Amino acid sequence: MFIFRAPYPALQTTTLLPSPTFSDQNALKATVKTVRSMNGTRYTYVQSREGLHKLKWDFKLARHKALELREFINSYYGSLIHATDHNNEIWIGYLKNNPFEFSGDSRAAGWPGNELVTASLEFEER
Amino acid sequence: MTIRVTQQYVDVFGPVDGKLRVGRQYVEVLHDVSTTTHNESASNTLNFIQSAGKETPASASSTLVFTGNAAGTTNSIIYASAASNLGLYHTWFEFNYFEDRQVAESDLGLSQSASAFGFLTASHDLGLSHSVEVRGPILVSVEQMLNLSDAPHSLNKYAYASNDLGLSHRGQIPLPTQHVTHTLNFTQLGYMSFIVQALNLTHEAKAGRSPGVQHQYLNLTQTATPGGTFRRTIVQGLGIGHSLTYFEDSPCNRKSYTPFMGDGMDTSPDAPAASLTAPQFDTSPGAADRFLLYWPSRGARTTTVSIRAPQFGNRDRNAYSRVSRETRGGHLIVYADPSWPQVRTMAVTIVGLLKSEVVEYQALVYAHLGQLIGITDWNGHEWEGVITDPQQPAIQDGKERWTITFMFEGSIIDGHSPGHTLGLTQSTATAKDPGANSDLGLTDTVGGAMPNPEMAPPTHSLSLTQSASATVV
Repeated sequence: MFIFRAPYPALQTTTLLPSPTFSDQNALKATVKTVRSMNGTRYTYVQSREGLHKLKWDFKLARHKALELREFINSYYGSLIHATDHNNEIWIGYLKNNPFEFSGDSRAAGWPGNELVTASLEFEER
Repeated sequence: MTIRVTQQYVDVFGPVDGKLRVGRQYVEVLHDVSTTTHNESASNTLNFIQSAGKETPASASSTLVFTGNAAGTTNSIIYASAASNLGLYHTWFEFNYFEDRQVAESDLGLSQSASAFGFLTASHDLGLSHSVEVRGPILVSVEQMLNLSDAPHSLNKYAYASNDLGLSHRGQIPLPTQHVTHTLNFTQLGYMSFIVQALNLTHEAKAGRSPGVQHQYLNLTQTATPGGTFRRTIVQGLGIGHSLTYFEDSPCNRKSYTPFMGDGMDTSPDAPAASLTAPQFDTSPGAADRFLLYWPSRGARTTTVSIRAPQFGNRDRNAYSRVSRETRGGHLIVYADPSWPQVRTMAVTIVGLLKSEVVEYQALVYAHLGQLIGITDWNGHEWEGVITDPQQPAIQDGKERWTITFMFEGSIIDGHSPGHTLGLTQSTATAKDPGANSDLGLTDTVGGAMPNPEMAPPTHSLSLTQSASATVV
């Protein structure tokens, strides 16, 4: 189960999604810039960004759920979002895709809308 | 017996020690009788003028010695009179600079008279009036703390103003017959909602030589009159938002159109229809219920191209205008305004086209490069926009089998096309009395085939606002 709620902290809308597919990503936002002097001395310039994370999830959705997610994004693309991921971890941040892309990939008989739509969401902690 | 009458002229001057001194004296013998006649009389009018001029210092004294000697028989009468008018002018002059100390002006009128009548009597009636409070022959000590006004102002609404005004007013009376009047003016102003006034007043009367009971009156009146009632009202919006959300986690809800919004489902949008109501899937060339491209996008269409529905893998791209910034700590801050442009792009690939269909498509694209064209997609939605990549090639995959790809940037205009027929029926029902209130029934219907409401409603309210406000007085 995956839950998006927004706007944070005055939550108004909750959208339930199925768990993302494998290959979801969780990365630190920290960066290290390395430079070397003429004598080979290494210097590193660090931006720790306080341990914040950048995440990416791929979803396979029924068409109707994809429409719901699209409306959710359309309403809260500039708002803080409270996300509870499939590991029951809570993230507070923004959806960072631009553009958000929904791809109608295949039939999905029996699913609402009878179509499978895939979407990839990039999320950055605040 | 010798009678001598003399007339004397005396020059008097006044040195700085304050005493008048005789500088010169002329004695003129007017009558000198030495006789044995006892009945002779003598009369003499003696005009004696004495003047003294002095500019400083403040005091002057005049000593007038008049000597009359009379010797005679018992019935001899000597009339001798002398009058002395002493005019003493005292002028205090000092040049004052601006805002220099102010010197009291003193008008000192000093009169001195001496008279003698038949006797060696000289009386001085010295009327001295002194209107200056500070100096005079009588020791007057005045300590006066004049009107004191203390009015602190504070612009800070949280400031607490405390004003303690201690005032001491003391008067000393050197003589019991004199009076001291104290007039104590006390003004204290505090421009605050709450004023704490501490009035310390000491009133002390002392007499140097009190003949009897010492009376001491202390009349103290303190009146606090507010100039106005200042009631400050503070209104502060606490900015408390409250939302109540719930959701039901079920496999169905993970697939269905089930946004949980606000305090219930009342404000939730309707879910799309279970199936497409107006699919455009016809594969027959030239059929109307196919994927259509036409120009113009609104109004009567002059050019229409119908092709197959696109393959799976069609893309629905939604790009929003946002401002993203990072703080020094790496925290992300995103701001977006709904009024900023939003770009929606449809990217499709269509296979299995005939050569003629490809030609028609390319002719339409070329004829209306950069112009708004219309599309009715496979779901029945009407779009309006621009094909942004006309340079995309058409690929022949087989005999009579062509593939095209294009990106269309636009927006859905469902239900807003003026090409639709709007059937409006308006009827007015009147009763027997045409002058009575009529019932105006208005029916507004949209004729023609409505687009597929799968996306319906295209806009819905996702906002729940509940505000709590508190007024702090």
